[in-house]
Amino acid sequence: MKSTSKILSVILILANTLFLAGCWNYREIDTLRFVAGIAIDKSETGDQYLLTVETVDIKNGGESIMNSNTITVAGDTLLDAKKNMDSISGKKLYFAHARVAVLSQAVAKEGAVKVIDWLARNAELREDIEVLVSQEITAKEILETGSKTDQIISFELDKVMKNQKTIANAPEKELWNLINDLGGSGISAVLPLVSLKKVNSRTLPSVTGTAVFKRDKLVGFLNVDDTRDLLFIQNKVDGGSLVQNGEGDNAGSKVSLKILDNRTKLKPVEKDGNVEISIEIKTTVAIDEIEGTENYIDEPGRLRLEKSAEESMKKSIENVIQEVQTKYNSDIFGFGAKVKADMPGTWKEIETLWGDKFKDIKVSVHPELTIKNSAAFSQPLRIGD
Amino acid sequence: MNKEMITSKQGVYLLTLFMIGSNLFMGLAPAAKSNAWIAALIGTLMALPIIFIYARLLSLFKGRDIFDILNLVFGNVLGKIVALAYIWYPLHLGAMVIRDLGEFFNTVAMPETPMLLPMLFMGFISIWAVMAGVELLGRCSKIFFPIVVIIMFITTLLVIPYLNFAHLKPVMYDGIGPILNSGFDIFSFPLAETVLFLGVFSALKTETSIYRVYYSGLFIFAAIGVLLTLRNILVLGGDIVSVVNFPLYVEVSRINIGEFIQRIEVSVATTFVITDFIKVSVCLYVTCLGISKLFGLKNYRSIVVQTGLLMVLLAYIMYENIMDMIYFAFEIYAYYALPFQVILPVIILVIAEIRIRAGQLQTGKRY
Repeated sequence: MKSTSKILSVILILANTLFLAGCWNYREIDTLRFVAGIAIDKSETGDQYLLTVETVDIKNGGESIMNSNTITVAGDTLLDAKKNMDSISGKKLYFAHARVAVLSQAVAKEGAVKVIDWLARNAELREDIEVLVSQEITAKEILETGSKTDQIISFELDKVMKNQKTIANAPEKELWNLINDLGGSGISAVLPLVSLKKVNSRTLPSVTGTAVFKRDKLVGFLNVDDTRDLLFIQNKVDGGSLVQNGEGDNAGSKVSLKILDNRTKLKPVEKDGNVEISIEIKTTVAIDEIEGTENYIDEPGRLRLEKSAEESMKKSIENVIQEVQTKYNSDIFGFGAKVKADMPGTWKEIETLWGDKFKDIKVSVHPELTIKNSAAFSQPLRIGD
Repeated sequence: MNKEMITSKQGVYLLTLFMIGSNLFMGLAPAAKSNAWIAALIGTLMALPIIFIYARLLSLFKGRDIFDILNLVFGNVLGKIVALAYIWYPLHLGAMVIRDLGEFFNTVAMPETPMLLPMLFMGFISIWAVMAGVELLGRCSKIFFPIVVIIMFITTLLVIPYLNFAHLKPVMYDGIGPILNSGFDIFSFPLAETVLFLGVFSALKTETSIYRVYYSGLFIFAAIGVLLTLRNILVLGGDIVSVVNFPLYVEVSRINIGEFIQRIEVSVATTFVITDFIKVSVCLYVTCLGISKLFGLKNYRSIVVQTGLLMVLLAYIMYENIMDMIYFAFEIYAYYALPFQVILPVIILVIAEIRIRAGQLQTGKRY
């Protein structure tokens, strides 16, 4: 008797596992359509959002083939557009694997927070999604290149963004980072720019440059070189290259320096009641390419090269800071945040004035370049007779 | 009366898991932003004297639980009236913790599952555990404690690449006021909630020092709490910590190492469930014990199921939405809990000391 009741209870418990397996809203993978990337535009009338998603269509066969597909739907808000989209796409859209979100210029000019909020609040989207601004007229045309190139363009863009650390062409911004920048006091946000480039016969998106924000509104762009300088200031360079013009006999030819390592320190200092920022940049490079025969490898040549590279770095960084101060007046470098962190007492006094003060702040740049090696060759190439 | 025993080690683990409970996942003192870790330290300091009071009460009346103590100190009638407070408080606290779990599952993990369902299952499992007794809870915590610590340890290793020490600066930018305030929040939620262990530690083996158990638990929790709070701030930054509902979960979801180790936030959900289970069970146990003593029942086990279901139902109806829950937990709770956590224990201890000195009470011996 006792053993039967034991067996019965075991059967009961096992039967329960059938009903308790998994979650309530059980979904099979083939009833979902995976979203790889999102593009957000304003409709032509300006009162609606156009939400474009790039979806991954998986075709099974001997080999599973992934196809890119885009859908564009209008809605009063983003959630509204998503809902409208569900009724078109058939399968339910699943956003958890979306890798990039591209904003059009019109959306960014109107205020990024309006769309960022939904991206961040939505529990299905992940916060490490990459956010970009399209330099083209619309954001959706970036994702639409996918169907022409047989690639999931969002995934490619994501890989490009992850590589930015070593090429320093654009500031990488994951969503949570962007939210930090937008919310932090004494720092303005920047986003990477994506544009379409013709490569051979194909049109591909290319991530170069920076979109500059003031508060949450797009105010302008920085080109590739300026972007690299910005990244230098923000201590986000971990690779990339510096191109140095030759001088003396070697004028007209160039030397490429490969950046091995970089460390930047921002130091706010108080001078006669004014806050000044001192930027110390320590960069280690390798000579990677020498055009011509000038000897940059022996000590005198090397020192000359270091010196001139430092010089041009200093000049170009100072130029960028001045450009941003006068043209955009937006503290994208985070000087204010640094003052707040290091001199909280001073920051309390100047916080409210920072918007006006930023454009007049004095910045001094002190680059220090060290050449570590000259790649595989120990001498410049010789040209005999 | 059957006497169940837990060892001092089990007691420490039980206490620690109870304190980790739901609050670590909601973030310790989010209002203090990047200074929350200082607030955690201050909260611990604030808890030192009150924990001394609890331990003193227990060591004065060894082997007796809070309801016996109330009866002895206040007499039969007044003691039973005060006991009502200690029946209501754990019932309400348990319901709050169950609700935390429900909200967690509803917002983060399973948004389309009705909230009642995870809450009900948490209720069932706690009922089962309490039916089995304190001894089982002690043994459970001995198994669960290493699991929780290992998960915390591994996730700490994995977030190292994401640490940004600039988030800590500036220290105490808004002055000491908000930090003291947050320290008080931490004091009441969770540190002084250990007042409930006045009902549990009567099961401790008599030769163990109750002070040691209480303080070891407090210090272990303080270490874990400060570490995790620091981690939250270093990874997310104070501003984000103060706006997200479940910072620890968000923090661990950032982990993405080589595209390979990622999306491991479920591990945090696991510890959430484990510690919530311990906390709910302790609350349920104390409630049942109180009710049984109030009505002079022979055994508390006959009322566990009813009380447990009542707790789940209370959890289900107590707030309209998660905003209410956060508001209550961080704005009101500290003051609401003050009588149970501080005022009553102090009064009980003072009267007990006076009556012992006057020779009216016989202590330290079991019947």
